[in-house]
Amino acid sequence: MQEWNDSVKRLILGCDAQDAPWTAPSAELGAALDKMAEEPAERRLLKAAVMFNFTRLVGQSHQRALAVAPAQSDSVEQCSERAEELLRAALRAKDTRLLAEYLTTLADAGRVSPPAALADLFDAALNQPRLQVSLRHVMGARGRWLCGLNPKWETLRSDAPASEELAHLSGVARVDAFRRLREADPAAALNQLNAIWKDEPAKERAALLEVMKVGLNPNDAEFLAACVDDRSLPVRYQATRFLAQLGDASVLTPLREWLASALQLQKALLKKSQLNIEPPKDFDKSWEKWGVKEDLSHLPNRTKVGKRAGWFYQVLALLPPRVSAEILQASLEQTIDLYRRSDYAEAALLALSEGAMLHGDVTYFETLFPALTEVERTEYLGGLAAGFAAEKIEPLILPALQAAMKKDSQFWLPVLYQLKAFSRLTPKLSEAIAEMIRAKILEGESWYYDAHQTIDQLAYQFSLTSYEKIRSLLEPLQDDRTNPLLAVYKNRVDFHKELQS
Amino acid sequence: MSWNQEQIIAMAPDSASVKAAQKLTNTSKWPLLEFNDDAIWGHCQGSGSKPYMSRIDLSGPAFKCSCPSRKFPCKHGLALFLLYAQQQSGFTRQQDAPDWVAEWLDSRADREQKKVERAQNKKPVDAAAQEKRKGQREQKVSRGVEELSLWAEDVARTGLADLQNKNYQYWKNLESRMVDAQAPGLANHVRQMASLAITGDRMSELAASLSRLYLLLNAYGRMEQLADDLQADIRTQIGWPWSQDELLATPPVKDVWLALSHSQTQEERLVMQVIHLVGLESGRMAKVVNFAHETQRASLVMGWRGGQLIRGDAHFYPSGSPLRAIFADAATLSPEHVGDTHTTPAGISLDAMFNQYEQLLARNPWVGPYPFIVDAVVPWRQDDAFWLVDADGKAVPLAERAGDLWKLLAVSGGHPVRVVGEWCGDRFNPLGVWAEHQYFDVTSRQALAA
Repeated sequence: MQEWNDSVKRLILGCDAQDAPWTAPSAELGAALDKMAEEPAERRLLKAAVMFNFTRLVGQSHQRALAVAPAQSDSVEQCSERAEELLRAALRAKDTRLLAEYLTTLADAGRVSPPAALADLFDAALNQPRLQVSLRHVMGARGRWLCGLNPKWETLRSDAPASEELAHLSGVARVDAFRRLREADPAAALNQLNAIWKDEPAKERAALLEVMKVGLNPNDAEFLAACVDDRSLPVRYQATRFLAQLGDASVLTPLREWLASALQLQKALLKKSQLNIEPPKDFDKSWEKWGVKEDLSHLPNRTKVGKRAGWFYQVLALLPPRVSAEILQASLEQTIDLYRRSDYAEAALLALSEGAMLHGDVTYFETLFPALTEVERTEYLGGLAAGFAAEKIEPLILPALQAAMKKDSQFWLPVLYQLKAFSRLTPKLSEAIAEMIRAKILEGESWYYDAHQTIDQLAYQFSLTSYEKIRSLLEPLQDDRTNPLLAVYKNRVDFHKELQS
Repeated sequence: MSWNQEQIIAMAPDSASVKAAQKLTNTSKWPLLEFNDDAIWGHCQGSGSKPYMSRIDLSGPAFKCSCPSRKFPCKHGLALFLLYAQQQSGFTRQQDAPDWVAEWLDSRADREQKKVERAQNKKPVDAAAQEKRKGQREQKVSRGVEELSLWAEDVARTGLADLQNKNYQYWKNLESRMVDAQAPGLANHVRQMASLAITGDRMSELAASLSRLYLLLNAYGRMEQLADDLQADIRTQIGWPWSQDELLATPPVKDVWLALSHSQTQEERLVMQVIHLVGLESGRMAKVVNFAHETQRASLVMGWRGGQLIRGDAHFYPSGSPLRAIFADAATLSPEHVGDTHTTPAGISLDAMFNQYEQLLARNPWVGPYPFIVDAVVPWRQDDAFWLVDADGKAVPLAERAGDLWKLLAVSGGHPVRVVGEWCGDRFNPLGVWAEHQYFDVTSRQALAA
């Protein structure tokens, strides 16, 4: 090897610059060099290089001695060949939403990823933190071993026991992990949160606290009560919301008293009663404990709001709508009407909706919807996804879909657009939407590119049990606008079937 | 013969075709979907009034479609094949193919037959004219060899460092002169040296390339004194073509071949296809290299993907280290047709690989990368490099730029596996691995990135 390196150096410089005598490692090679002695320098150099290049290749053997450490065996089953094929197709299409669903399904089924797909999954998860938590559950021993060999993937693995999971993660991945923990065991998840809580910055605390809505239960009250004194306003506000949601008297009673003192009803006949809203003139620092901001300038719908109306909005949003009805000694319908005719109508109606969502009060929306125009109802639908699963508000959405399905209705796309906010749709809703799309295609309706995207998204939202019905509705249309939806939808269904079989 | 989605997608000319085909993998788009043992065919409803008539000859597979697309296979052909792989239940089995399919299958068979007949009834060669042409070419090649020898000696005088300053035109002129001298192999050698010189940081490789070239130029001058196999290798290196007749005249190696890897690269409009195979009975390694213009991909071999079995006669290019081959009478097989043939060929140790490579090098100094199946080795990553480690803990480096080494590591899991790859003299370029009763082609992580 030394002679070859010497040859390379001489060739780089050229024999005009350097023509020192050669040294041979063996007598045989020395004799060969001697034979070239009479040749011109350039030929001597080239022939020596030929010779030493061959001695290098012929003498080639192992270059290192290394000790390897194999991966431990995985005790759980891998997914089937078809499921692997679907997983690979989602990786190829860079379909993060589908990948996330597949990984979660694999994790729930207690299976591990096929080893051949691991490297691609790791690379995908580096760019998409939302895949990381599920991936940790399906990478298995093989995946953890592989991560250990690549510093780039090191962050994706954790050898920590499940009981210390949160301490070994950060950012979005940790929030996702906390969500999964809350789904599985809210008390254990709370213990883990307690363990890391004090060392976290405000932003992280707020993000983690928000996840407490998953599996929120009375056992969380003590922790939440402590959060009401947190130094971060968003944390205080969120904790107060949860305590209110739990019906905690220490929060609800003062809030109710605050509201009662701000409402003055001037009773009259024939629906002429008038509601005067008079919030306190000065901000009381004790309200900060509830997370109420002194200088809220805009409502969530970006409408500018005065200081007092802002305080009123924030307090009312923490209470269920029935509290207002009780204070006013009126029905819910009358209460809505009174607020609608008040000076703070916009802030009040927004706050009532928020309060209803916080407390899971579907009755409020059932009362509200008949009084709304089709435009207003459509606008409400997307917002409802933040507070309710689709199952719970199915009776509110179905009439909106039926109205939108009518010939020449302009609302069918806005309705679909609003429904994008729901991660999953019920079988009834899925089938009603498919029927609506079918009706619009048969009507000869045309739509623009963003509508295609809205419709493509439905593939991820449709109920798995509705596949055959929806296929029978849309497939015969042979329409390019619904084919991509059906292809992705079928893959989802196939993947779930594969894991069940 | 069964095909999976990945294998079919790998036949696509580009990712856009895959995407377009996937949109058509919906039985409602196909008013007609039928098949028999030899072919698949279907009507695909396009935007026009008449559907496109797409058909696939399963013996290839070969594609034909009535659509005007210049891509090959077109989206309809790909979609038809994907549908067949995914939902065979949606196809109706027919005893006989309709006329539009049967005629095409017949014309393909006719063409094959005519090819054979042409080969059998060839016009007698005008030996004198052939000899004259050969003499003229030899003169040109000799002049090219002489010119390149002078150039190499010039380089040795002034140094390789000087080549870094040369511009593209300098190398292009030298390459063109070798093409004019009817020595395309030398032109190719010049092109490779140019790319090494221009990168600037691969001086050792450039020096090795120059030394191999100089040996070739010297050997050509005294070719008559050398053994037949070595003469054949020199002819190949110079770029002297081998006619198909000459190759088919060599004794065939009849075997069931396992395709180990399949890669396609494109330079400008020229597509190069490389397929590595191993004979399951003979244990012989074979490498098929095909070229096609990008619009003529149909002439490339379809379906010989990693893990595929092919029954055929391999005719090897004459060489001291025979590897490159053409196939005659080849047909793809499904595992059940192979009977008891074991689809995992035997491997050798790393030490045996070094020994065998030395022997090959002694017979053909320009042997270059040569495939071996090595047994009981562990793919491993340490010190920012990939390695292949044997049972004694001795390791050889893996070629970093080759394929997906992480996939190789993932499927082996740090356990001893059988790996096939090219030994390049100083590093191992993995092509595939047998693990968990499966063969994995590791030349690409994703068959076709979207």
